Amino acid sequence: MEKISVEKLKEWALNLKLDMSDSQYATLQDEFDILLRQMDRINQTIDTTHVVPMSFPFDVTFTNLRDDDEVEESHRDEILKNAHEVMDGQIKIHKVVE
Amino acid sequence: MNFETVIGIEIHLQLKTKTKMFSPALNVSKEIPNTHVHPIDMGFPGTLPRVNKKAVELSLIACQALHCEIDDCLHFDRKNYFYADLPKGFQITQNERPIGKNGYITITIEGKEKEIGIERVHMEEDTAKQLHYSTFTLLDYNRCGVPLIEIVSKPHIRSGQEAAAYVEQLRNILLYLDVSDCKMEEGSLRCDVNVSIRPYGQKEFGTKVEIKNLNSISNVEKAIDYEVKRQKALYLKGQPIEMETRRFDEASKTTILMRKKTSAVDYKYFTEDNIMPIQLDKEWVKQVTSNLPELPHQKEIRYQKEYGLSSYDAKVLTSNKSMMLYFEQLVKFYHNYKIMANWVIVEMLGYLNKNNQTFEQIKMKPQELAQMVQYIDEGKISSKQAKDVFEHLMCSEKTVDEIIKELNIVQISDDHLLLEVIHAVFNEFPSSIEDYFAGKDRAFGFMIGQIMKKTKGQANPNKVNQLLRQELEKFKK
Repeated sequence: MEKISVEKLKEWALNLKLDMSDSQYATLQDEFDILLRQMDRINQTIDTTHVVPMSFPFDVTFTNLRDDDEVEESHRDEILKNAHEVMDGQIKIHKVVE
Repeated sequence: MNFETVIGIEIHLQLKTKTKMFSPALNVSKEIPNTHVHPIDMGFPGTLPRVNKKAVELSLIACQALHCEIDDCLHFDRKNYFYADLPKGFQITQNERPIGKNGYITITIEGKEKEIGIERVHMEEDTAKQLHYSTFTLLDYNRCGVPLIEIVSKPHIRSGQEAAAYVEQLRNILLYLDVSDCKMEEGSLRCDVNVSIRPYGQKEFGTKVEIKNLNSISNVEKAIDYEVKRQKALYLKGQPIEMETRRFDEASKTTILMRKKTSAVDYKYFTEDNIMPIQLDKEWVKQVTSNLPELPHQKEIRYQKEYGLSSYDAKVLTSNKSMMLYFEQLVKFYHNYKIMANWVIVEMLGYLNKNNQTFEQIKMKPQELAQMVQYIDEGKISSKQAKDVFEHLMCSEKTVDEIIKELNIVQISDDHLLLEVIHAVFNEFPSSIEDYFAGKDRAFGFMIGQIMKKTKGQANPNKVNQLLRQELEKFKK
């Protein structure tokens, strides 16, 4: 598996809004290196072609659906409290489309 | 060079539920902004989505009507993207296991039927409504979390006309089933179209261009027709057709570039782990899918069989749910189905178009229209008089009898009275009798005109016709 570069780590850190030092990047790169080597080893020893991803720890289904008449209102003030700026009851943001 | 057009259509449809897909907030997007938003819609920490039973029921109904294979175990996935219209950072959708797949609907173009395959029908949640101004954007989360189904067609559509017929047929079916209110202009039915062209005989698809946000069925057709022309022109000039998203510009009737698709967006789908797989009760699924109301094409066949209507009339009557409901009321009151269908299709539709109204706004009760047609058949009023009565009935809640009285409409059908008038006309215009026997056709019409004039248009035309011929024959003898 391809080695993870520091540039790639910096790009992800920026996306995740993490501020990290150079030594932390170096540690992270080493850790990724170990992880990827372990994954490589698993891939070489176990054939996972027909293995279904285990999204849930147990193979169970449940039957519960919510009835359409359980109405709960209204959280407007709490929702708008989180916004930096509100205008006419709507959240105002920078325009990101042309 | 001859080209083949290949079109695939994705339709997003808002479901007619009381609450949202995963939260108990009300499903009403037209209210005061941000008044129907639940912490689940915003993806606040600690919240858990719960699947709306009615949304599942409506999805099952849609799948059944579109002849889909139904997956009775619900699985949801996360489609990850970072954008303000979904504050969770992902949309809950069904990527791996759609509730329905491999369906079809049948469209009719110029009398020919064609099957259009449906790739998949999956459930998901709607996003917030964004209002873009020159320098900022406003967000209303009322629409965020509204239940949707996305219906993806197979690339079986070959022209703008077929695309319009497909959307119209789909819309009609879903309206009949009360799955959605299907209002394209309000966004409860949204349509994205993928168009590509390829030289005839070529197996590989050409580069597809997506046209977004088409707000009417006629625009679907216009946008595709323009886009096909544009792509052909590029191809013939040797210029590349690029993968891009365009929008239809109503004013210029062209498609305009929105953005180029340099690479496919990676949504990093994975299982929605907050919703365990839900095994639907098989009996419930059976009950929901086996009780579908009669669909438009089934009604069309029945109208021809039961009411003796032409296939055209049956098609027009079933093309609009409100019109169909009106007609079904009408037939309960009188049996001259063909004539009643004519009044609905010709006069009523004409009146509504002229006055920019819809069937929901009609004041005339079906029993009154039925009564009016019965009066025509019985000779109580003429067809001409009926048109006056009809105009008055359309804009009032009065009965036919009240209108007839108000307009002072009387039809003279009494033989004795009519004969008196006929003889008065003979005395006044003896030359017309001679003209008639000299073979001048106009003379007969002239005498009818004089009789109508003398009776102020109230003489029963059929009766006048019959009596006038009878009296003229007497001269022969």
